[in-house]
Amino acid sequence: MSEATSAPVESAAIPATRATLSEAKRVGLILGIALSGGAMAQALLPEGNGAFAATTGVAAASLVAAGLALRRRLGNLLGGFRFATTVLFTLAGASALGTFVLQGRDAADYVAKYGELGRILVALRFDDLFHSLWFGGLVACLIAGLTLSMVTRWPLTSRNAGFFSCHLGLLLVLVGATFSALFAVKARVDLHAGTAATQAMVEKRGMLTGRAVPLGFTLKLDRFDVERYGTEHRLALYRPNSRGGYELEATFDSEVGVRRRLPHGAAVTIDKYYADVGAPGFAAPAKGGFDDPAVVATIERDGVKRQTMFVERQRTAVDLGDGDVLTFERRDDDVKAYRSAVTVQRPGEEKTQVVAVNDPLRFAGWSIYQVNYDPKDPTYSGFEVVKDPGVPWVFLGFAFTALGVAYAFTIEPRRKKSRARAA
Amino acid sequence: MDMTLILNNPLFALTTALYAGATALYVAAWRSTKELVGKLGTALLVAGLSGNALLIVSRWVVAGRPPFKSLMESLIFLAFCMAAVYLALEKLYATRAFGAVATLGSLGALLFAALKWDAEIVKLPPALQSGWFIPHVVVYFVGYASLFVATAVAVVQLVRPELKIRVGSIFDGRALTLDGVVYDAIRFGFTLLTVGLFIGSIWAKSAWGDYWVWDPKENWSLVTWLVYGGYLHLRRVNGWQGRRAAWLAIAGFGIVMFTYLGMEMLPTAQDSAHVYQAQ
Repeated sequence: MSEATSAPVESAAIPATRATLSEAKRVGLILGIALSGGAMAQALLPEGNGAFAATTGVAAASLVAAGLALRRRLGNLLGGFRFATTVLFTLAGASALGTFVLQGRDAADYVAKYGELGRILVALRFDDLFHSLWFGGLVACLIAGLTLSMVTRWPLTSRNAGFFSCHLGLLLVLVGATFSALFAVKARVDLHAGTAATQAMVEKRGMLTGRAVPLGFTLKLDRFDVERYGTEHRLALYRPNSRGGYELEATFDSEVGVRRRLPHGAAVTIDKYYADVGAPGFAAPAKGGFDDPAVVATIERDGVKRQTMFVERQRTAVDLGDGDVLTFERRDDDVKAYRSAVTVQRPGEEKTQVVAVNDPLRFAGWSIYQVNYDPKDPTYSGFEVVKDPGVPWVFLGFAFTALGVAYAFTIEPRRKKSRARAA
Repeated sequence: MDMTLILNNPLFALTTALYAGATALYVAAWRSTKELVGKLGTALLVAGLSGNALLIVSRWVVAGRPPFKSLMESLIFLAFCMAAVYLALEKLYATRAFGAVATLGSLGALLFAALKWDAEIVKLPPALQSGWFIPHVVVYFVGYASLFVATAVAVVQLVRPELKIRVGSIFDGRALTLDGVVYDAIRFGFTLLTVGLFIGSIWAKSAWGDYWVWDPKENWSLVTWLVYGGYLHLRRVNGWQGRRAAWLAIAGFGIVMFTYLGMEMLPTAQDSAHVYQAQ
């Protein structure tokens, strides 16, 4: 693992070819053992976060213990740059691989999609790659590398503070992630306005397990609101596509007097906007807004101008030539926000709060998130309730890592140069 | 997108032209003995950067939200970040040696934006209405821009290995090698990748209750971070400086580009919340 300051490169004093080959081989051997050991262990052990955490922990502890016992022969290797690089690149490759193979599907799906290769993918647990024990072997190597790199560079000084902060932070993230994997509970609560729940349905990797968990309090949905963006009307240009249909190419707002360029030297300018062409004299609705909107637009092409009225309800469309079509359309009022006014209650304690996306409610050790709504059912609201003891550790690790990296890569190099100038 | 439609936005066309002019002048500055050519290149780039800033601000005003939602908007912002980071490096290292390659990035980003022009402004969904949205995007894109500039310098390092930057770095007043500039830019970019990754994770926790869900974009952000982390470690291994490190820097930026633009190619992307939707 890297130190912030630009220390001399490793192996510089050792004859390059022999030392490099030897060290590279040893690194490859250790990584090979970790990967194959994990692959063999997963044939014997049941699937699950417990097995992953246990085998990863045991493997990491064994590597660290061996590194400490054989400090010169193994400890320095595991805490060295080449081992760190190899582990990081291998983890990168494995993480990338997990995006090329569909994750968490039924075994039959892999056979259907990949044929015989699908069976191999499932056997190697590429179908749940990030929870496979060979991936755990890689994580064990990372933990060992982080730990031993700190041991071999001890003591802590102002020069290597960034290095220690960063590497300790990464270890804290991994500790927190382990707590999350083992002890976090994530569950769904579906409510309608006026109803309440005292338990939630447990989820695992996004799927309901059918198991209920008591919340320890009552969660009542008092009101559910959906806020929408305002409706608007736009001139829309469509072009024919290769599939025989039309594709939206551009749209323009209803601003009057602005000349818009169109393909093939054409142009369009909206001359007038009417909020309600159904009313006598096209009078705008007394309540404001619009009822039956339309625009009158001048289209120019090949030096010829023609004026057309586009009525939204009539879906007026004008052929511009070359297959291009100009029309006047309503833009649906997309959802801007959805939020639930809830009351949470347990003996001696009651709290009322609005829960929205990005604005969860915390109560009795749970975090309650607004995650769902149903456009066909305006009273329905979907919540995710989460209790995760790993989060503080993970976030603390983030802080340590980010501060460490920033210090090591931006502040310490300048301090080093100042020291060099002073010297 | 028919290019005629882009003429409805003359500022975009002007900014693109300014970046193209700056690139041409930086190329000419490689051959010219007159410093004025390089200075004109910088002047055009500053003008282009100003136009780019106006593009972002005007879009922000019209859309009523930060203009980072669609691919086109993000490309325009990336072009701005690339130009700004390059100009900062030009000032810091007192050289225009890699101006031609660096400005190609801003020009390329705008030309690609023209191909991906939005048919209309997309509304911001609830999950993106967060205080974390702007810092997450800004930190990442400045990081990407820094890694791009590192790549541009690495290209110069490979193409013109004989080039030495003259004395004048404000960091320490000593001559720097191109290898050193690449290393500095990657260290800065890696710092921002780290902060951006963690901001994204904290935001995901506040929006959905999970700080990590193995979403393809998350994974590739992690891959990018791991690869540059590997680069920074590998530089300490004997024989991994100079040309080999330059090639690795270029490969690293290839992964950045895949993370940014390639997600829809992945079979696992269908459930991702991060893929740019076709407009």
